[in-house]
Amino acid sequence: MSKEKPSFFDRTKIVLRDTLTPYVSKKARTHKTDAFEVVEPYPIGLYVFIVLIIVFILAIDATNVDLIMFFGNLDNMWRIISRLFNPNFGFIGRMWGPLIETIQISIGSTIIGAILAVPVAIFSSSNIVKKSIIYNPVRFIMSLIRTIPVLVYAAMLMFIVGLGAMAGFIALTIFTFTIVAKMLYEIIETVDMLPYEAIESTGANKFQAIRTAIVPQVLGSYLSIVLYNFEINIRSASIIGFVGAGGIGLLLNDRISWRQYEDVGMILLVLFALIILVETLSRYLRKRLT
Amino acid sequence: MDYSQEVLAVYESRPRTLFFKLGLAAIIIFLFLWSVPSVDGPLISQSGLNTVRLMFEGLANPSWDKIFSLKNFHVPYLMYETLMVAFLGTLIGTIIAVPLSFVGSRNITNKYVAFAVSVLVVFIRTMPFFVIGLIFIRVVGPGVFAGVLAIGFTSTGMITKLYTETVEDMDKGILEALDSTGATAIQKLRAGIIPQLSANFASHSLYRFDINVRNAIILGLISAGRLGFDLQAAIGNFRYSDAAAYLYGIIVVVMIIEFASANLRKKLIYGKR
Repeated sequence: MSKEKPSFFDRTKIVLRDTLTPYVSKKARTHKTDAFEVVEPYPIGLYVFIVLIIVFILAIDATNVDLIMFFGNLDNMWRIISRLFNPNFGFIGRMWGPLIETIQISIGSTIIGAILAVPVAIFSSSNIVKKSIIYNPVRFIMSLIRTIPVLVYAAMLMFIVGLGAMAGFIALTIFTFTIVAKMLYEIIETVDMLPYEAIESTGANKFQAIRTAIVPQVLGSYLSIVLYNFEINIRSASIIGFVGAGGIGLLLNDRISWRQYEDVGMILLVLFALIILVETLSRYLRKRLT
Repeated sequence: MDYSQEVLAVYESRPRTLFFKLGLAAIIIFLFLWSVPSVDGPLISQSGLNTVRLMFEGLANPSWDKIFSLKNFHVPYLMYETLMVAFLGTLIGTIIAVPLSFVGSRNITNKYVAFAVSVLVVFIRTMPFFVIGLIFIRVVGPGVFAGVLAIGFTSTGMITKLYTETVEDMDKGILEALDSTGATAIQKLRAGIIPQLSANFASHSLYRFDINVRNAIILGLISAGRLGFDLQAAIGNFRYSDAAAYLYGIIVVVMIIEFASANLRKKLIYGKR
């Protein structure tokens, strides 16, 4: 005997029933066999969905979404993109200076920030400094500094040290300093503390104990954190010029405002190659380190 | 003092890393010295010190009326607008990323398609997002909407990458089990795929939302968002009290978002409610 296939309407009804009844009846959430009885946790998916819809409507209202204008000007965008994909190779001669400056900014700021981060990370790890009155304020101040985006720092520093690479350099140093300090103290808190206690018990002071028991355990992770930050910094250093703080962003901004999209395409191509190169190198080194 | 023979033997065969360490130090010092010439000019000048003093004075007494007024274009409104930009951008990124990540997973499609998608993702991720913002400004004009589009576009890259990893870790045995019970496609989706992926997907989107809030702020520096634009204008016109008001708004909101998103993600992954 072959049963007839339920119609589309029936199937939709079944799916809706299966989805919605758990919200109203506990019975639908209870699965019973001879041996055991399981009650599903109360589902929250529908509420999340409703909240998302409300926030979506509010967001549409707040951000002046204008899809008609967007789709009307789409051909404009295709024109820009097609020009971007047609890079002007003759432009490469003017790029080397800013490009090298970008790399220099990111390397220098990574090194200084990473070195400055070490003492702060030690002071904010709870297993070395055992007093929460020391490590909690240090952590709080660091996360306070971390909330301000690096470009805002650069925009502010420009008025202190003037236009040029210095502002970007200091901004990236601040950023690296806070991020490395955070990641490093999280690593330090997971180390094996027994060697540290053993060395302290021989009468070594805190500095000696850290050097012999903690440093060998975290050195590899530390270097890999630093490399990871270098990856981030090279991206940041390439856009830091948009606010006037040195690097290739200055040139990029200039070319975009002159609507020389072929030149922009060339810069993007070189940046693409640089970022891929740095990422590959840093992934390789990080794999070797851990 | 006489050590036992075994201790001495172990000590003698300790790993020799002196050359490695010296080499590493030499490379780092060389790179550092090479990068120093980029920072030329006087570090601290008299006017610079003056500016620092004025900035700290501004931070000490921000314009309280801007912080606590609910009028348009004051701090709470600007923060609300920034959050909405980040939300809408994340939503666009998520909506594009869901199909793209299924297409880009090696266990669902063949490896050539997956490779093409991964190239696209790398391409989107390496584009500096200010460039994308400026292109969208050319398309829809300066304003918040350009920021939404730019954030949506840049989010797509990272969200797709994270989603693809999740989809590739998916347990396909459950789908076969559901097949054997005679489940329809919709039922398989509801009972087999959504429960497996939704928690991780939500967690990745939340993580990106956290980043997007910061990006929405700094997109204002190129006039694709109001908060960053006003902040830059305040700094540029030496209105440091107003700038401090915006900065305090940023600090509070970013910290709350960071805290909330970290906790929610922990709950999503470890399943505590």
